[in-house]
Amino acid sequence: MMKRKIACIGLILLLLLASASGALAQNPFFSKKKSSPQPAPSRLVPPHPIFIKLAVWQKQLKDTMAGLIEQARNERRPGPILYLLLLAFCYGVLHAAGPGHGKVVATSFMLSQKRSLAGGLLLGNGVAIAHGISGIILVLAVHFILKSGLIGPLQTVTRTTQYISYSLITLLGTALVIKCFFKWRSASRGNRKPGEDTAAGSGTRMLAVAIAIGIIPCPGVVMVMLFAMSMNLIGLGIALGFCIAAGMAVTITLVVILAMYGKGLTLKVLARDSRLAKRIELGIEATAGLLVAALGGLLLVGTVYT
Amino acid sequence: MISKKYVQCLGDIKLRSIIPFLIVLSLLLSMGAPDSNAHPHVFIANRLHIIFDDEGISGIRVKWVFDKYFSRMIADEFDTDRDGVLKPSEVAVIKKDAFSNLATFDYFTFIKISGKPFKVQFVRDFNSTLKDGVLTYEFLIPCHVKAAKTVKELRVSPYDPSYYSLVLFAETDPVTLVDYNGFDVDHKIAKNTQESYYNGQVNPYEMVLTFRLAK
Repeated sequence: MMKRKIACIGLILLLLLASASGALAQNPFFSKKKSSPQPAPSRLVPPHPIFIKLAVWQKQLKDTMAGLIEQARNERRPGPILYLLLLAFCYGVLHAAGPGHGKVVATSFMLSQKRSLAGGLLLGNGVAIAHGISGIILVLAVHFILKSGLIGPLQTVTRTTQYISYSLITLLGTALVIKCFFKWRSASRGNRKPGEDTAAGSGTRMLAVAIAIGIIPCPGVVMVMLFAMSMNLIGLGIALGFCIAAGMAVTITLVVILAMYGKGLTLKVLARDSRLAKRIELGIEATAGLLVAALGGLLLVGTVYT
Repeated sequence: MISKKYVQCLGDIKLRSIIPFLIVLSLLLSMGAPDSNAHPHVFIANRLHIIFDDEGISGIRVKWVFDKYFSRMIADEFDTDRDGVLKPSEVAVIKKDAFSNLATFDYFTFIKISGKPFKVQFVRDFNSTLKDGVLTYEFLIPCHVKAAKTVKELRVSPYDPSYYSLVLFAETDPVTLVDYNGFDVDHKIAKNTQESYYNGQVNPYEMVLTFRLAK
């Protein structure tokens, strides 16, 4: 029994560690960093060539897009622009498949909730759209209101929204763990109140969580928009930003739904004993809540020390 | 209090039973570290010029060509007269505001001399150009390695440890040898599968150069 407990805790700690390092998201060219980062010693997740491939595909897509945007400046035919928007969408799909984009936080949150396809769709899409729109608004605000260079405001806004987002995520995770604890206590006392398990969070709540995770402006969107706008193609820039966000929405939603399915599968395997299944469900939810809190805390600490 | 109950709550879970959950979770984690910004955002084509003097290697000149988006970002900010090229005064500002900070990232250049790490702390002769919307940086890393009769090895691995930028060797002329008469030099570019960066997720590429006094 004890061994099993230790093994469980060990595994969870390992997973936390595996996910914790590398929590930096500032541009190394401008951000003042205190200490020199060393190549991470962590080998928990083996390197995979797919990472480089994903990045190289993104580079090729972006290069093609740059050529098309320059072409669009010279000749305003709809053909290349439609192709360009399609490429932007594909870029979004690939871009969100790489590290980051709040996928882990969003997924952990989803695991802490009752399964609901609508909830998963809302969360996944919400995170991506918030992430993209935040970038679009930033570029427009700097261009039309501040009328200044982008680098300074980009650094400031990124940092501020990181603080906000990570604090909210930490609070959210803590609340999830506490809620889980009370649920566990009432379940172990046997007083199960029917209707207590509300089917997945309401739409507005899900949307609020999505915005909290996705509020940090997406540098991918920012850079592509900036490129288009510097050629006075503001409308095209906004359209490209939305297409990238739509692409990211596909990937993030897919990951969230996949995790929900994984949780469902786990519970299904164990459904023979409904009491045990209930406890495991609570265990998963508590772990996921703890993961959300820990991720938020680690990201917050990472931001403070950057 | 919570943690105690939490542990109890975990204890009721059969390890076997959470395996599928763990598999899904680790799959997710392997898909990415949890920064909110996906990476990379800047793409750099890297070229190395290995410079020799009478005694052996005297330095490494690093040349970077940036993607058009980052180029545009820098141009918008630092090409203040908007003429599409960089004047020495503009280069000086770029050096101060968009280059010198890379010292904390070892200028994205990780060097090993015969197995021993050589930390890049100082660089010289920084220059930056802008042509047809494409930005370049170049700088010299002083790094003296005396040649001997026995083979010595220089490894240079260009990468951004934060993975904000993807630094790859250029497809054409990634390595150029300068004034290497009098030495036997051999070099190749290969992936280093022994090392990794960015949370252990990416293997860097490196130039492996071996040299000795010519017979």
